[in-house]
Amino acid sequence: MEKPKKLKFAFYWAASCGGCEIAVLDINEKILDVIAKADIVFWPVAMDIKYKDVEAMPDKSIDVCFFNGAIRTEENEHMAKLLRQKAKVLVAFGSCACDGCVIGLGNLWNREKIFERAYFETPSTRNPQSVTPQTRFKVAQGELELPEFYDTVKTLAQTVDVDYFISGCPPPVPRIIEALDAILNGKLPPKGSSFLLNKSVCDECPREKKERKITQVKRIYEIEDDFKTCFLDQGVICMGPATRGGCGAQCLKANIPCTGCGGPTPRVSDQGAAMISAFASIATDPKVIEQVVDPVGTFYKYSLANSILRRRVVRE
Amino acid sequence: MTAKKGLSKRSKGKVKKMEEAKVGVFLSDCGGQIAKILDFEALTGFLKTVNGVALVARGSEFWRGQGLQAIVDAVKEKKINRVVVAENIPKISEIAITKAVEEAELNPHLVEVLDIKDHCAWPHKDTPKEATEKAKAMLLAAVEKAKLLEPIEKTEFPAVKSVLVIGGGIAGIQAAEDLADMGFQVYLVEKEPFLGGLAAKAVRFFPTDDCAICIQSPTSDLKTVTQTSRKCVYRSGFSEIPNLNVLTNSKIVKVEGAPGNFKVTVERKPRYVNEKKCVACDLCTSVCPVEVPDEYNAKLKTRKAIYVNKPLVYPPVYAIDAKACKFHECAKCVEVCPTKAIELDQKTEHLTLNVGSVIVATGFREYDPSVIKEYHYGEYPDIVTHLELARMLDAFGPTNGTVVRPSDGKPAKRIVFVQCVGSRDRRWNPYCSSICCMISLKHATLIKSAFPDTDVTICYIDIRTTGREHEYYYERAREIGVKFVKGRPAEIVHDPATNTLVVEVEDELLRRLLELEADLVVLATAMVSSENARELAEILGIELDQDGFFKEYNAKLRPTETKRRGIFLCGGATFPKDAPTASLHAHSAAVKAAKFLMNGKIVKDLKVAVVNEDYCGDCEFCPVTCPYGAITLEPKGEGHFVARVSELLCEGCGVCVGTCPVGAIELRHLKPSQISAQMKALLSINGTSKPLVLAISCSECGNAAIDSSGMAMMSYPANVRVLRVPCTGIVQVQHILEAFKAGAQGVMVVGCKPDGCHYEVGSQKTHKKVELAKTLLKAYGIEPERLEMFNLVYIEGDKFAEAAKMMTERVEKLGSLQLA
Repeated sequence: MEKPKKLKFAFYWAASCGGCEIAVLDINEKILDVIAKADIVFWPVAMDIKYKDVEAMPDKSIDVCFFNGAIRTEENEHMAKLLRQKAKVLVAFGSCACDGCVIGLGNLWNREKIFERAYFETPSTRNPQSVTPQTRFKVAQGELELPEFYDTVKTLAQTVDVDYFISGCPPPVPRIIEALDAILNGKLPPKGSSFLLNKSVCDECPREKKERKITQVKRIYEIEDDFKTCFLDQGVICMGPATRGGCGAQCLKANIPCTGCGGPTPRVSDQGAAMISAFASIATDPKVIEQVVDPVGTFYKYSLANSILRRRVVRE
Repeated sequence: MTAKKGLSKRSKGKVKKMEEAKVGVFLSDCGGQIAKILDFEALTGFLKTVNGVALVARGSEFWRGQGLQAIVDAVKEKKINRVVVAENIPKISEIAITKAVEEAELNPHLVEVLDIKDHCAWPHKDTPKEATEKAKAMLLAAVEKAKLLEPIEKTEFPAVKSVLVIGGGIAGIQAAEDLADMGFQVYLVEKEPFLGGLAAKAVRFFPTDDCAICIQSPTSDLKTVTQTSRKCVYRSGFSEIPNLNVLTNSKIVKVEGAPGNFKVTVERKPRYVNEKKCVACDLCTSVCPVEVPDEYNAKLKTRKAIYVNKPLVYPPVYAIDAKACKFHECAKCVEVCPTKAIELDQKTEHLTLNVGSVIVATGFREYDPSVIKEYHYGEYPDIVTHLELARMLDAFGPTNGTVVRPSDGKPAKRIVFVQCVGSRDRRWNPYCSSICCMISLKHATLIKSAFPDTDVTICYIDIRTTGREHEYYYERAREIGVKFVKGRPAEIVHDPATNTLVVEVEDELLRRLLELEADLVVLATAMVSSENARELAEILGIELDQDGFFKEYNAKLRPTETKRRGIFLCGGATFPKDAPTASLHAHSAAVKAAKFLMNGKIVKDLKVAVVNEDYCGDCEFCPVTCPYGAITLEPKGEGHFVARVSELLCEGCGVCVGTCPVGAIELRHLKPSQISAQMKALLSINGTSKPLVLAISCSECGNAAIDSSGMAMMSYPANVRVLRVPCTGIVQVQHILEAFKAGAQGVMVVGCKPDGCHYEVGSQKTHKKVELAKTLLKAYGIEPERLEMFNLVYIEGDKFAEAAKMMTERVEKLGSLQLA
């Protein structure tokens, strides 16, 4: 009997921290099933394959590409487009690819302001020659071309057509395994689906919901956590109610409030605004509103790039 | 209390399967009036280009006569399945239009009525071209919404023609009697063994000094009772109304079910005397060896363990005080009872009543003044409260109508009344109990009239006599020699040598310190809510106010209703009241309860919120924010819950929608897709030189203010576009951001006054959302001044026009907002 043809997988990282790559390894022995049924044809973090090798592959020759990271630079965009062209199925893997994640918080500034901060202002920077990234640079051997750093971070789906999503920072291992099983067994859900759950983190959280009234906003060090009561009932902002579940509320189980890495739930266009609406609705006192000092950092930590307004209006 | 789903019977047939939208648009030019401003040909031409519009008709009016017939014909013959009507005062005209459409067998919720006169032509009459462009945007928004409208069916809920009245004081008795007279099955539940409440102890009422326990007799039996008849409770005959059941010694322990169909569990403590056998011969008390202080008579005398409160009570049947009786150890009463009425083995019973509505008439009580240390109540026996004094003034009472010093039983010749004891005092109760001045005047007058040589002084802060004839009552008291000292006593001291009390008070008018010697001091204590008010409120799922009284829905419009449908209030349960006011209140509550149940069913359009259980994440916010207690949590899978909306209790405001962080709840009558389609349409056409401003307004006060500004032809610029929602509570921060994204340069949220929100909490909640959204806008680099909430009422149309102008000028000054 002829051996069934192996699937071809690709993994890529765009603007990301690398945590998603570790998450792939966190599937442990499951990787053996993957290897049994699929060949990995491209994985910059683990394999020495050049972009030109990918360019040389026939279109749609990669069965599934797992793409993590946001689109911060021209290079990220180029690779997103290239991999879209080469892959039959493109999966936005992790919060950066899905929602922009912490990289997306760069949208509170523009390129100029980010460069100013990164190359001049930070206390650890010494830059006497005032060097900043350039797209073209002449050296003795000729002119170098470097990818452009964009003003605005985009998500993968804002750049190319995406088939599936699996958010999280990084994506939860059980959901990665489910996604791999679905792919390896050819049981893919409808296009556009997420491999996370339709319900929010609250649904998985073991903590007890009580009064549901916020009288004062507190930081986590300001409470004496009883390890049982919902953080919101203790005055600590938790993004669980507005965050897509599937993680098993693992942060909550480690007694840390949810910060929202699962991104918006399926019927919501703007995770931060949804949580703000809910939070303000259960706040008992207008003073509670004043106690929220950093609304973007609190409510949009992972989803600014995938929100309604996507970025700050920066005036010269 | 949990609201249960089910019980509903859906109407069938009317709901057709969704088909492709064929929109008919009917433009009323109001007799040609607004055609002088709006270019109707341009509007018609524009509408014909809009996808989905199958018919455009113009007429002088479409809500009656030929115009209405044209709509009916279009539905019947041209198979128009969505109706958009631009007509005057939509809130009125849509009643006739939807009714006609329903008769033409189209679901009445497939109709959208808008007002291009008061919301467009009149306020923009000076800029007719701009007005026409705005009218296009408004019509486009209506058409886009209409295309997304879905049929909404009606549901019937049962309404049991039976009422539970809690509290057997005069308010409860009056309400019970009214309802029984009207043919309802009535259960009157009283926690004590006898009816009568405070009135039974109060003896006489001001200002007429007639019997306190006098009520209007039942009018159902006109053979024996004339219309003007009034009688003491015990002989009024109300107990003989066949459909009125009196349950004494009873209290409510559980309420389940839904308005119109409550299941109430009543715990009935044993009386140990069979009411049907007892003939009130008094033999039992003559043999009873147990004597205890008589609480009914303010402990001024004793009574036996088997007793009856005489003479003004019902039922006129003995009762055994279970705390005092020795039961089978003694059982002397059982031996002597000639009718074998005494049943010492009676047990506590639990009865389940099926009632359509509940009236709370639990009254009020005297505040216990012993907490006020400077007045030494409870410490010096000659300091009494009004209720204790009232018992002395009762000819049948412990002192046969004479006023004595409880310490030695000698006549009290010098009596000082102290007003506002524990009331108008932030330490105890900040409010004025409203009836104590009149009670003091009544008692002072009664004493002075019966015993003219008694020295009577009233120490007061203010004498409040606001009722009809009350001031004359005050004057009479002065005329017959009652003395008045303006001042709140600092302390009451006791001289043991002479057994005399001394009231230390500063006379504020004469500016001197007085030491008033007294044989008896009477404390006009605050009147506070009944003891079990909080417990009962929890059982019933209704609210108490800050002072602990039951809170009515709306003091002006719904004084006897609560936020929970089917539960009504009357009498002193809402605030201390004199007898005439309590009685008036009781009749009002009875009418409201009757109106609620009279048809035997509740028919309701299902314009309600629905939860999509696949997305509900069990955050449990909506049950808390719902102003009507309409949302409960239902178990779904192990350890998981989902929110569920009671179709009966939901008022369709959308506060839950504005809260839900996952978009799992939506209103059937205003889906998120309809809001966003309207928003985009309203902002898709400008046609003015000014930046677009979106005003998201509630359908109640907010829209009324916009109506009134138009009716009064107050002008504001046509760049201001109105998106109407049921309540501002539905507004989410997403809507505000979407508006900016869709091209709005400014966003106004127009709602009711915070305390006057038609849906209780919507306006306040959205105020907080708007404030937090401003902080967010700032972080987004957008000037927070581009967003503002306005709280208006109907008579503030001028303020809406001003606000619209102000916001326009403000965003013009800020310059164009360029979003990426």
